[in-house]
Amino acid sequence: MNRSPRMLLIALGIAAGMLRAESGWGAPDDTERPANAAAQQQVVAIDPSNFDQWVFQGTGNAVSARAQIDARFRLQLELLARSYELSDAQKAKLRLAASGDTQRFFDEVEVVREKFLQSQKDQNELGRIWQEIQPLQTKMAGGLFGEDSLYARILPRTLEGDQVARHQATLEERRQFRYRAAVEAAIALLDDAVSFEDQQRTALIQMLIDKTKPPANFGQFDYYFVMYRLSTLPAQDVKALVNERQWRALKPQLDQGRSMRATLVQNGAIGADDGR
Amino acid sequence: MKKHRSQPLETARSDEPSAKRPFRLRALAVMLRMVVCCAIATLPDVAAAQPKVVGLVPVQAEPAKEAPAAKRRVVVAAPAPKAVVLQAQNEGMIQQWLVQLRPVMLAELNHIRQVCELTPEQRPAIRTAGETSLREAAEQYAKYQQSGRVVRGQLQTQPSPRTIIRQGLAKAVEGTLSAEQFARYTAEAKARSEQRKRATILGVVARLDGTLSLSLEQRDEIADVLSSRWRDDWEQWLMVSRYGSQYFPQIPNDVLVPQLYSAQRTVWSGVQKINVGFQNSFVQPLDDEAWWGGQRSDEVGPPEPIDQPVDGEITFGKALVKTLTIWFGGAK
Repeated sequence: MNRSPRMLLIALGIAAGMLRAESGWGAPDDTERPANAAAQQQVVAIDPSNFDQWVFQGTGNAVSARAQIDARFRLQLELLARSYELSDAQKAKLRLAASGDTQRFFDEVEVVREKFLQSQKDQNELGRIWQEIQPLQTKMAGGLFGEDSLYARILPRTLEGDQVARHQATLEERRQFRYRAAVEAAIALLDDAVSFEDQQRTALIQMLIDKTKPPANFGQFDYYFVMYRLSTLPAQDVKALVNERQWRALKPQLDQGRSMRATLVQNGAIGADDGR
Repeated sequence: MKKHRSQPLETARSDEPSAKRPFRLRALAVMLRMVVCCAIATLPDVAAAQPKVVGLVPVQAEPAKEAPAAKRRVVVAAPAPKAVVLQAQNEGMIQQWLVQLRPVMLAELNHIRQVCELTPEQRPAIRTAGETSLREAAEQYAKYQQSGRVVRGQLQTQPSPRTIIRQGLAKAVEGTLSAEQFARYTAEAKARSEQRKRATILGVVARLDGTLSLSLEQRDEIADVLSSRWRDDWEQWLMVSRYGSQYFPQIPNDVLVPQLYSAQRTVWSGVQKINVGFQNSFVQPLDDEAWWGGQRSDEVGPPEPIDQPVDGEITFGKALVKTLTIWFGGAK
């Protein structure tokens, strides 16, 4: 063996030894593991401040998260008040509902935080807590005043007269605007696979907007939602817009969109009976 | 399976100190460094056996007429180890980006194929230009990644691989196609770019609207200002939806903030903004090397037509695996 390969082997041996000593890789038998258990638990222990980072993410901690939630609510109330000339009584009612939602959220956070603190050194338990943290993250990120909130339920009952119809019209216009954006984005991405010509692209966008409905909720599955909707249109109508080669590229995307139905139902983008 | 190095999601708060990295990672880094050092130690031996190799790049022999017979003995300077390591690292990174960016090149080639009705004689030159511009894009992106986002206090502009490839191909197309073909290509390429830009801007405005409840006038104003100050690398914002509705692209403050009023500014200052690096699209373009070589198509079509029922619904997990397989498994 000449000098260089020998050096390479020695270096690998030293490096592997270091890894084994520190991480327990390559332990000769299970009897070594209990001796290292305490050390491993120390590695697993997570600083309590991480909990806030996980739940509140970019907002950092509970105080700044509360400030962010308040800011979002104040913005919504301001817009409603400006658009529909809300009375003071209406504003107070909505404020109360929003503070109920906020309190309920922070109560949930504290329950999970307590579990987190109790189980900090147990990796399995931490995994279970993580399952409970994720819905909190989603709620925090998506806003606390969505469809299932107290605020959303109180709002239609608080508005009076033509305020209700005007508010519904505003929401519907927003939904259509957002759907148009989702369709344009999905077709731009799909273009990488199908290579549309301008006329085809325009026709497909128009077909989707004219003949399909927006999702109940928008989110990270918007692309798949549009593919799902496209797959529900009569195949011959879609096929008529493209040539044979383009159809071969488009077909797997439609299949994938169709196969995402269960996920879309689960995420609230479509109802369980959609397309049935 | 192809190795994938995804562009990291850089949040505005991603300033984790390196001292907190797990020890295993540091140990791996040490191991890697030792292996690289040993590999360097082997180089003089390799150089002795193959005198025309300097570093890791083969060097073309000098023409005989330029070297007198008596002085033809080749003297190879021992490469500086640090430079060799950097060169190897750089090449490794370029190779990764070549894999990552290949779908972009294929999409651009397919677009040309769709709109230009190329003759068999025209195809090889365009394919070659595609490969060249792909390499150029990979090199620029690797350089950007290596030098870091901030160089000498200046924020570096992220290169747009799609633009680099498009521009490289446009030059080749201009020199290869007939005037009529080129006019059609130019018109279609322009329409395509405009649709992508429109989709990106609409997507961002819709996302902002969902959080900031913009008025109709504000939507139009923001769309206008984004359009007038458009930068090619903003096209990557199309991919921000992949991360969920809580994330926003890093829209420059001087573009957006003047369009917002006080309560909206407060909310905007608290949302999470991310730097969206290059991301491949959700789709894998078809490749057809034989056709580009001027021969018959060797593409394989999908297994069954759309009007046949699919084999039941699949779960999100399965769909994710399928998508990842398409991205990284290479449906070439």
